[in-house]
This record gives sequence, structure tokens and C-alpha cells, in this order.
Amino acid sequence: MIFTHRQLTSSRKFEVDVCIIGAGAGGSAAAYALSRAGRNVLMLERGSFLTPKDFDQREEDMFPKLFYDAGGRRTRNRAIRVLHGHGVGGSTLHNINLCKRIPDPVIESWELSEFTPRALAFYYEQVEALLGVSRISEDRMNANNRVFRRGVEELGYRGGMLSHNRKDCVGSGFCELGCAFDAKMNALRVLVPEAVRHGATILADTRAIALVTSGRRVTHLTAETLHPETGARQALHTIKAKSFICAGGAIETPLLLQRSEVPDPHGLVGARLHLHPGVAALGEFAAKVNSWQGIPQSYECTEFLSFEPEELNVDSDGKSETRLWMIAGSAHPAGAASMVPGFGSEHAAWMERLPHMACVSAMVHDTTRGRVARKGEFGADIDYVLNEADRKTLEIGLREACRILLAAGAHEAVVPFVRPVRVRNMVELERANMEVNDLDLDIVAVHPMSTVWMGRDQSSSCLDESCRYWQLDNLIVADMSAYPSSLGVPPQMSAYAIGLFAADTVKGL
Amino acid sequence: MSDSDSTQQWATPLSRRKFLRWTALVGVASVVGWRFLTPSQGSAPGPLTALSANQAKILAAAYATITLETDATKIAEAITFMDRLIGKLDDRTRFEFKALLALVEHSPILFHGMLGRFTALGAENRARCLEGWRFGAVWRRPVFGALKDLSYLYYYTRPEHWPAIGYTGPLVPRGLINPALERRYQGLEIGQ
Repeated sequence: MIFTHRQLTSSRKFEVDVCIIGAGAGGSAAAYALSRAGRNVLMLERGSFLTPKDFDQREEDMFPKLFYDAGGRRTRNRAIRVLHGHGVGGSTLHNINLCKRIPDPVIESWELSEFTPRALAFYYEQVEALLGVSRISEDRMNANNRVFRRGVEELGYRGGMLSHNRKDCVGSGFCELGCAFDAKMNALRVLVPEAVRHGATILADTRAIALVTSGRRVTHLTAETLHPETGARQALHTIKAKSFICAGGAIETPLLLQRSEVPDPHGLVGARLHLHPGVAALGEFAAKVNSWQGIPQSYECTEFLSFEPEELNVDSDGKSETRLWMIAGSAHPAGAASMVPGFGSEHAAWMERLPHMACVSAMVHDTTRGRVARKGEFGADIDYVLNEADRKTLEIGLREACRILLAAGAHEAVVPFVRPVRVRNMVELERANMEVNDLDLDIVAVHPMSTVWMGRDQSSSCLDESCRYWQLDNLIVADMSAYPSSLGVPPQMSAYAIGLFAADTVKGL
Repeated sequence: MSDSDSTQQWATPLSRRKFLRWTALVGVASVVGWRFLTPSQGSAPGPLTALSANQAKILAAAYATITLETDATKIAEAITFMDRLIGKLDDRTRFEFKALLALVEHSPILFHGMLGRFTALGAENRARCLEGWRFGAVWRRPVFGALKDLSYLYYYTRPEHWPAIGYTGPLVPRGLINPALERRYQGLEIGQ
């Protein structure tokens, strides 16, 4: 059963086989597998239990319901907006349903002996079958993606259609605000109901406070139910379990471990943060694009995306030029308004041209390593400063995004720097300064990962190859924290896969 | 220093130059102090949960400058919305935001050589101040970004502003329940 703040008005004690902290892709996949295997599972989720009636396609309602800090969370230097979700279903509630596996070279670069491409493929196959992953058909491309593809093809760049996990999608285009038509084959629709039917209990609106340890074991977890509107504490709970799975995502999981003061002899928890930071350029077209309509992000450009290991990918000038993934971008008005330069009448003039604007995003398969630490009791201090290679890659991304837009027929491409760069042809593009400096440009990251990573050696990693925390025998991590590096692809499939993988670890304990 | 020493120092007659300097300093301090300590003008919005009335006024002045909204009722509604959002921030971030609001309020004199608080300035000077936050030192830009994001998150989610930007709006009315879709989740939440 699912308990929410409506029922959790008084403190309770629970005793279960497995306690899972976080009901996103990883946590839900683990709950699905373990409950079907007959384990008594309890899953906690900081966010609310939302169903299609709650996804009202309004930014002002959905941002606070779907994102930490209502979508306003940023890195310590404020240069990068870090969007990560909460709610039963986690970030799969607001994601765009992109389905890609981690390429073999990335997995091989981790040099793990058991967590190999073949081992992971076993879980990917299960996830893809469960979620009905399929390629978007060309006739369902929206105008923004058609523009993007036209530009990519015009330039002879490498590109292709993407696979999504959708069923009965009406193409409303409101994916990032949750699906009112319940067409996302995500954790909420597929895994959570099945886990509950097999006896799993979910405590929504409930925040993990701290894990309590004794020797090499976690004995229990303290948690509190908060009112979703006021944030007022309603009840304090204690959960005893044989095993604990942390699946709160790559920001919240290290924060919980730090808050709990679990043994961390090498000071690794929270380090090695990767974000996949992204930037975007706009192109103005004579015809309307209405980028917010239709299925978003159905086409990708991989011309500049290399998956070679980090150290092999830096050329003699110290520039990393090929770790770039490009895709069409879109936003509803408030999101677009945040990106469009200026304010007042200048801003209003930009916004009036919104229907004619197409957007291309460039995301870096980052080599920068940041760190997550506590800020106050429950806040996140995300220390992440782009290194020179990633900065250069983003500059290339901006230039190529403009090139694609111009090749597609835009009469002007715009990079929304604080002082916008506007180019009308390829000559102007070559002359334009695209230097990416902190706080000159809105940089957005939606894929935090690798903050509690697995490895072969406990002096240089937090988890063993079965996702078990080196210093605690019954603590497992099952979210994007567990991967040792940037993936270079959208992480959704990999989050589900690590959940199933971790469930197998728990079964073997 | 003994008491007699200090008395002797204060007893020393002021030179004309010193007198003029002290008079000027006291004068400036009085003006600045009055500007800093006197409550700013304007009407506060409705019940607030996260912001004080003065903080709400600063935010209201910024909102009006950013969105060009002039309707006091609509500005008050915007502030009520923003107050609710700010209430959802973690304690430290909320504290920082409030501190930055105070800085914005006093930024005319601190950064722009204008006497008067931000909330006491006319629209043109407020816009000049915000331009300073937008283009100024790197540490100042996120303040502008936060005010801008908050402002437009309210402004552009009001249907009356959609025709101007060609936005067609949500496809589902608020509160719509599709029984066929909800059936998938029926019985999952205890007691519902």
C-alpha cells in the first residue's frame, strides 16, 4: 500500500526485509524485483504520490511538485541549474523518456571484472521489455525535431531517431511536467503498481533523516513525513530492515550517507559528481515551430559524441572536442522565459517571437568532477566548476547548434549569453565569440551521477562491484550514484537497470 | 590610554578643514541612515509564510520592473505565489535569498550612486539597478537570475499573457479526472 501525508499523521515503527530510500527508477525497479521475489519491501519517497489527474500541464503547479527546490537548485557558484526530481516515480515523472544503453567503451573504461557490458545487457533487456521501449516513428516527429534533423542532414552530420518508453502517447508535448495522459511507461505506471500488488509498502511525502549503524551493519533508518504544501513535520518514523537500498539519486544519496556519518575512511562519498551540463541555442524561422508541441527529443546528433576514455580523448592542445551530444530542446513559457535574454520590454520582444523559435541543445559527456556536500541540515552544496576541456566542448556545442539551425534555414541563430550573440550566416558564426564563462549563460544539468560509485578497490571507490557499500554489509546503492563516470547518454535505462541489478545483490545477501 | 589622555584629545579644537569633513560625514550618514532605516513605500501583499512584509515589497518592486506589470492586485498575487515557493527552499538557501533581497534593496547606493532604496526608486532607476545586477560582477548575476526566474515563473503561467507569445496553453483543464487512467492507480493509496 501507499501511505501519504494524509495517513501518516502519527509516528510509526516498521520492520521489513528491505528498506528502499527513494522511489525513482532505481528504487522502484529494486522494489519491483524484490517484492515479486517475496521480500517484504518498504520504500520511502520524499515527494508525493501523483497520478495523471495531478499532472495539470502547468509549470507553476508542477515545478514544486516534481523538482527539488521547485527546480531552482544550482551549483555552489550558481553557474549551473541542477534539475532532479522527486515524487513516487522520481525523475521518470518529468523526463522525456529517452532510452539509451551505456555504450560498451564507457563500461569497459571502468575496468570492473564483474560489472561488464554483458552483465549489464542482461538487465537492459529486462527493462526494455518491461517498459515497451521502441523507436519513435518518423511521422511522429514534431516541428522542432524536423528542423533539427534538416540541419543535421544538410551538414552531413551523423544523426538518428531515438527510442522512448511511451504507450498511447497523444503527443501533447508536456512530458517535462508529468504526463496527464499516463503515456509514460515509467516507474510510476509500470513498476510501482506491480510492487504494491506484490505487497510493497510505500511511504510518500517522507524524508529519510539518517541511517543508524552498529558495527558493519545498518540497523535502522529514521524518517519524517512532511506536509507537501507547508513542509511541516507530521510524524517521525523508525524503519528496521535486514537490508537497506539507497536510491535517492546522485545528489540525495550521498547527502543521506553524509548526514548519517557512515564510515567513509577515504572521504569519497559525494565526490566525483558528473552532471552532463548542457547549453542551448535558438534559431528564428519564418514559419511557426511551436517547439512545445508534439513529442520532444525524438532525434539526436552524434557527430561529435565520442565514448573513448577521458584520457584518450584530449588532443595535443588540451582540448576535448568530441564528447558532445546534441538534441532538440524545448520548453513551455516560464522555462523559455528563463533562458531568453534580458527583462522588461527587451525580454517581451524576444518572447513574442517564441512560436518561431527552434531550440538545439548541446550536452557535454563531462570530464569535470564535482562534489556534493551538506548545506545546512537537508540542503545540497553542489560544488562543480567546469574544467577547461568541458568548457571548450560546450563552446563547440554552441557553435554547432547555431550551425545546425542556420543550415536548417533559420534567418538568425541566437546564443542567449548575458549579452546575446546573434548570427545570421556561417561567416558571422565563424567570427562569433562563443566563450563559455560562468554565469554568462544559462547552463542546465539534468543527469547528476557517480557520487557513490562502484570500483574494485575500497580506497578509490565507495561500492564493490555488486553495489554494496564497502564498509557496511547490508547497505546497497541503486541509483545513478553507483556508476563510476559520466555515461554520455541519458541515464534513465541505466537507473532502472542498476535497480534490478541491486535487487539481485540483495537476494544474494 | 588614560581617561585624561582621551579627554585631552577630545578637547583639542577642530581645524576648519576637520570641522567641514565631520559635518559632511555626519550629513551623509544621516541621509544614508534615514534611507536605510525608513520603511520603503508600497503596499504589501496578502498573508506571507516565508518572507517579511519588507522583503515582499522588495520582491514586488523587482517583479514589477522585470515583467512591466503595473496592476497592484496582480503584483500582490505574484508575491503570494513566490512566497510559497521560497518557503519550499531549504533553510540555508532561503536565508541566503532573503539576505540577497536586502542587498538588492540597498544596491542603489552601494553600486549605482543613487540615494534611496530600490523600492523607493522610480521604474527607470529600478531598471538601471537590475541592469547592474544582470551585467555586473559575476557574483551579482545569479541574484538577477533568481529574481527573473521567479518573476517569469508566475508571469508567464498566467493565461492572460499567453496570446502575446502565441502559446496555446495546457490541453487539460485543471482538476480534470480521467477515470480510465486513474483506474490503474485505484486502491494503491491506503484509504483512497
